[in-house]
Amino acid sequence: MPYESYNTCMQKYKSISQSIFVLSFFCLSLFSHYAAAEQPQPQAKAQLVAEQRAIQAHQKFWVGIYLTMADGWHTYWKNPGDSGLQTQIEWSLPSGWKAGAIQWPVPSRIEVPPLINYGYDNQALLLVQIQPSGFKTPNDVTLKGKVTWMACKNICIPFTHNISLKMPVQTDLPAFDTNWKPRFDAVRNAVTEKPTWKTSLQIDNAQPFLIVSTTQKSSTPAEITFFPDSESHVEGAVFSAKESSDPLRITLKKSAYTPEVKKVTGLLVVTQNKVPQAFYINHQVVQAAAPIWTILFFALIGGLILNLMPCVFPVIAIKVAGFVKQAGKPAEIRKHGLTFVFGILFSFWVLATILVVLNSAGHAIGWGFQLQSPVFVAALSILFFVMGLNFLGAFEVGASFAGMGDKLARKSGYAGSFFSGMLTTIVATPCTAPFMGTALGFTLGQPAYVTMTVFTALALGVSLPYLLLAFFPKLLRFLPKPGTWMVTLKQALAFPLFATVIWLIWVLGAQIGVDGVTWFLSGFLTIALIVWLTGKTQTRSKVKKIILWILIAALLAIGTLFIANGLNSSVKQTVQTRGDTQWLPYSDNQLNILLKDHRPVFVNFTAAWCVTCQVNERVTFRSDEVKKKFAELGIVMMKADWTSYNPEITRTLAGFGRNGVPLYVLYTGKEENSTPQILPEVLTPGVMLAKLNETFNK
Amino acid sequence: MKLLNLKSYFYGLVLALAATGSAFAIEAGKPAPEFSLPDINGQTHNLSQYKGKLVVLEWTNPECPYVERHYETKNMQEIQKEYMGKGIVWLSVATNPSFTTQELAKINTQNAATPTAVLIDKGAKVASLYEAKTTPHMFIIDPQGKLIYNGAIDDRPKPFKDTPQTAKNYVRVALNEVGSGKAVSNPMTKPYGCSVKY
Repeated sequence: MPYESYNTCMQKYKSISQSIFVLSFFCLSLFSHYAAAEQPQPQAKAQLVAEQRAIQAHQKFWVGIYLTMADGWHTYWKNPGDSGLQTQIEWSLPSGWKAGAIQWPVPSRIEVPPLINYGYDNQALLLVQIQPSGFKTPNDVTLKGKVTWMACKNICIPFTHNISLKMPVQTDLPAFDTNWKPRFDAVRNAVTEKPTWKTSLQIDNAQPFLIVSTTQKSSTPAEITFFPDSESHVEGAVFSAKESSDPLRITLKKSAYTPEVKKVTGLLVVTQNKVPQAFYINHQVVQAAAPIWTILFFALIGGLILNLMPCVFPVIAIKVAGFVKQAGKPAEIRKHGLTFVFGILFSFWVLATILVVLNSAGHAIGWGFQLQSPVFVAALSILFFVMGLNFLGAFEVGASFAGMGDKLARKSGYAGSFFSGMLTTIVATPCTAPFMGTALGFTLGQPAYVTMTVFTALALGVSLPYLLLAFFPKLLRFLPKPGTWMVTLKQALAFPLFATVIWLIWVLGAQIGVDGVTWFLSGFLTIALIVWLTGKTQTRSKVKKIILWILIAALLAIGTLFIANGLNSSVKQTVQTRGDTQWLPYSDNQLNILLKDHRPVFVNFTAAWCVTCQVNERVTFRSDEVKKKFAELGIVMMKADWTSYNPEITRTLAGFGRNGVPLYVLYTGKEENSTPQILPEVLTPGVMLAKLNETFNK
Repeated sequence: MKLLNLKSYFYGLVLALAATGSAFAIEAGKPAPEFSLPDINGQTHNLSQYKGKLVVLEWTNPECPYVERHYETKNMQEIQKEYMGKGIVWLSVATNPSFTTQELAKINTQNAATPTAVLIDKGAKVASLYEAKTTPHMFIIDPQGKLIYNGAIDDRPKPFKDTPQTAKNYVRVALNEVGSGKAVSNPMTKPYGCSVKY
């Protein structure tokens, strides 16, 4: 049997590693037992080489497995492709010494249509870093290994070569081998850990896309080649951009061997101006596949809970109080109730449409996007402030937004109900209730009709109390009859509104800084004055009226100036510092570096405007017990601050099937591509500690 | 917040995408393509003539170390004999072989292999139909002509001689499942081996 004799042949002469070349040839000729015609000889050779002439005690150093073959022959990358064999090495090192994983040079695509392989023509230098510990012989050390690889041309020949290298040991800094050092550098430098390109995985209707973008714009076309890892759920791809646009969208093809694309990992090579940049990408979709009914239920519950949030509660309470006035007129209540609900539904649909349209255009937008804009936050806070003043009675609005009482009989009352529905949605936007995050996150990558359905469920959840009242006006009997308590209630409800203002300004502060906020608050002062003076314009004296209006106009101008000035400020750092010194700012590159070093990492995706996040922050992450546990386990804590627009974080969230915060991800760092764990949104110290114990005490 | 960039969206649609690569695979569950090939004795075989029987297609190449591993250890011959004894048709397929028909016949005898037939696929037409990638690459077709397995022979993609009988053999598992009336639990696996010669 030729294969047997080939191996025995190699075994017999294995001690003469220098002559491997000759022996392969020799042994190969025995192989021709099954060779039909003149078989080409690969002249395959494997050597162990080093870039240093000697090694120092306890200092890491690099060695290379150098494979050579005759022309026309090739060997394989870590993912050989449709056929072939990945090169592997089994080390025999002194005890305590550790060898790292093989650092592969950037491969080429070897196409023999319809098949594709990834590998190296003619030669390959595979690098391995060795970490020595003790030395038995103080003068030199011999490194040994058994490398298994395959060389193919028309036929494939597998090899097992025993390679060894004797290295002298010295105390001084060793000199470099001028022949090998540049070649080692070339392999190491070919793959960068700080690419100028950012990537993310987007799955639209189960079709995976790789989004590639850069901050450095250039008009020369880019060619992109993707070399997937063996575990990748997609196949390799080549992409030529005729005109560099931002972002580039590469259609990936799902591998036939996986039902669903959940993992896209491998090497991406972007060539622009003939300069290639190669970097590893790792995108995993970690999504708990939930049946649509659970998601809709979550959206409904989330919407219902939103009613209790301080931003929404006052508006809702006033609306209910409005209904109380109509007790006894069930038809009126039903009509107004339904119009109100429709106002809510409509506004949610508008929000959902904006989200869908922006997302499909590749813009990194998620739920809460409206709050990433300081202008929007500012506008919301002014709105709440003015509403609070109205509730307190500082002024009256003609067709009151709250639709309270008086004009309900007229048709304009319906418009009022509709707009108060819209208002309810607007004031709901700063709040994220539990369950809402999961439900909304689920809409990522789903067809538009799924997103609309989830948003509809959310809107219905919010509207549930009204719907109940609209259809069962008899329930109003449980509420007290109209009376002066309504005025007191309205005044009292001004305070939750002011509380929301305080919170929004805190968010604004994270976005524009303390100075900006001060300017802004000065603007508030002028608003308060304007509101009060506007109330006073209900006077008979024409002169008084004119003076007041002039004053109001002046204040308006001053106020606008203050506010604009405030909004123009920006805060230098977006990461909060007080009490948060242990948080490292998140970046994909930093995370990859940490994971390569097998460090455990905890990523906290948060935003100043996210209530659940802030609660978790104070209750859990500032708890001494939790902090101690994190330190004990050596977990690196990273904070991804999504308070302001950040496409990198948006895309990372998208990779987890989310488009909202909070999101808590725990990487154990145990294996390089291990699946990270997602922690629940409502994170108490108990839950956090339990999860840490569970994960790290395996 | 960035404004909507319609231009980028437009270009995204227009850009040339060449998602080349190992793009394909005949899916299990689809009807197996019909073919007509000569065997090493000159007889022609059509897939349709075996309707009503389970058919195993085994892409082979005697020069390939992965194939040799199964033949030298008699693993392939054992599986062939065992299941042909149960009425299965086993067709080995050599695409663009570097051996002459006589040499292939001789190798077959030397190996003591007893497949129903060894087919010669010159020009790789049938390999293209089935999108065969490696040697070995196994396909199983049910009596109604539907493809029920497409993939590797086992879970040990090694070219070196060991005991493949101890590996999890996907072909055995699939044939046993069909034999007991169950559906094939693992219909598609990634095949391994040397490239099929196109």
